[in-house]
Amino acid sequence: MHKLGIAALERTFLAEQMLSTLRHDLRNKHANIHNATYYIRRQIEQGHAASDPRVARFLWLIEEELAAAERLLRSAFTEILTEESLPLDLRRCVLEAVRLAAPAASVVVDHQFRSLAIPRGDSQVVTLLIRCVIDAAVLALSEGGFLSIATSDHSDGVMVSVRDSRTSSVAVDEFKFAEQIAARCRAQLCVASVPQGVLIELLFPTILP
Amino acid sequence: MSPLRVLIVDDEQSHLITLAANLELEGIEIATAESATAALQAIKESEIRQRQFDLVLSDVKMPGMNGVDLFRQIRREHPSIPVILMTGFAFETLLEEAMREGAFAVLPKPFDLDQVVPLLLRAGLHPMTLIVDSSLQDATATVLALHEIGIRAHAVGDSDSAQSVLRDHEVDICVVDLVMGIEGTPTLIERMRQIKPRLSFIAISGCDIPELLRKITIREMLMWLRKPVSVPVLARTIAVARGSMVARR
Repeated sequence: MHKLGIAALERTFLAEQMLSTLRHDLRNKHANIHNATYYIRRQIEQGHAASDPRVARFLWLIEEELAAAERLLRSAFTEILTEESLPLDLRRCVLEAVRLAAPAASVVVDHQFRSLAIPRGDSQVVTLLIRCVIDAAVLALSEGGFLSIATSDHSDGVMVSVRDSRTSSVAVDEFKFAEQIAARCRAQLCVASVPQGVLIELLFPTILP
Repeated sequence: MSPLRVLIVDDEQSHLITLAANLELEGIEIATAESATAALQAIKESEIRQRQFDLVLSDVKMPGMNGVDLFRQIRREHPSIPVILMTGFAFETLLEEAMREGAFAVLPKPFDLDQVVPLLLRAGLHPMTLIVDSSLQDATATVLALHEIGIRAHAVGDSDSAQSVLRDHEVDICVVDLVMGIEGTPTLIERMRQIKPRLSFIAISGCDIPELLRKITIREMLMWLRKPVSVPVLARTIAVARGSMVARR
């Protein structure tokens, strides 16, 4: 769980870095526009605007800088939107999550990929969510046991089911972190005790709300 | 009197040409460089032609050598040239280091050109920082330490000497001991302001003196530092005081 927290912090840090760079780049554009308008205004006030070739050049520069600022904004937000709305390879996310969770040799892992529909989302966040759930199961199976992971299609999305054969009950805060990540990628998380273990279901929407 | 000669360093050409155009309207002679390496070359050539720059105004974030490393190299090789740094970042550790090492000031981009021109003209005069302390020995030690990092400073131990230096020299910052002689610091500050109305003050004291601080705050005391003050902290405060006259737009 600690490792997952660090991953989330790293992503937040990266987002802050990106915003800091964006602010810096926009301030530079703002500075250029401000300097150019300041110069043009002074030349107009002194009656030199018509004869000064810099005035026409700076008017063009203002247009260029405004367009560049618009491109900066668009590219920054496109990056964020694209990341969250890309088609998701759920099978790859599950396999990566299992690999990262590294269940002990005493845990028998079974995969069944039955879903055909393609959900959308940020693959890193979805992998993190699935790993969080599998980590909890692996931790509960420290003495060994069975871990079954399946994907299936439903009317309102694609479901990832993680079933473990733990004999202990679910701890109160065991899935609190997973719930937060699920909310971020618009997934629904459901935990249920079943005969001979615990079943965790993650439902991912197939269309963006 | 020959015009102020300023070297502007910025990898962004649009900023170079627009800033240069505005400063030229003020009668400032401008040379430009698009990298730190080109700036060092321009400084070298200006020395050969015996037309040294009065100051360097440099961006911080540049490919290759950044503005702070450029400042460090200028300070080593051409210690008499003041360096003012410009940045679009709100905070940078690098900039903190530069101020602690003796950069003249740091300007936030985009800045108000009306405020920048007086700062450049002031920097071009290579102003001194006046250290006023009832212990002349302490003041002299501070001055020597500031000289080590390229900050021009002068020490005095009493009110009359302080006023005399203000009349005869170009001083823009006064670092003053809060307990100065019989007449007291507030009166001294008032007299110094009469001589130089735009003088900025940094107060230093060995203990808390609320009543005195209140009086001094009323007289627009800039900053207050508590003794013992390390030289990097004092250098940073001096740079902040100089830069604070220019607000981000």
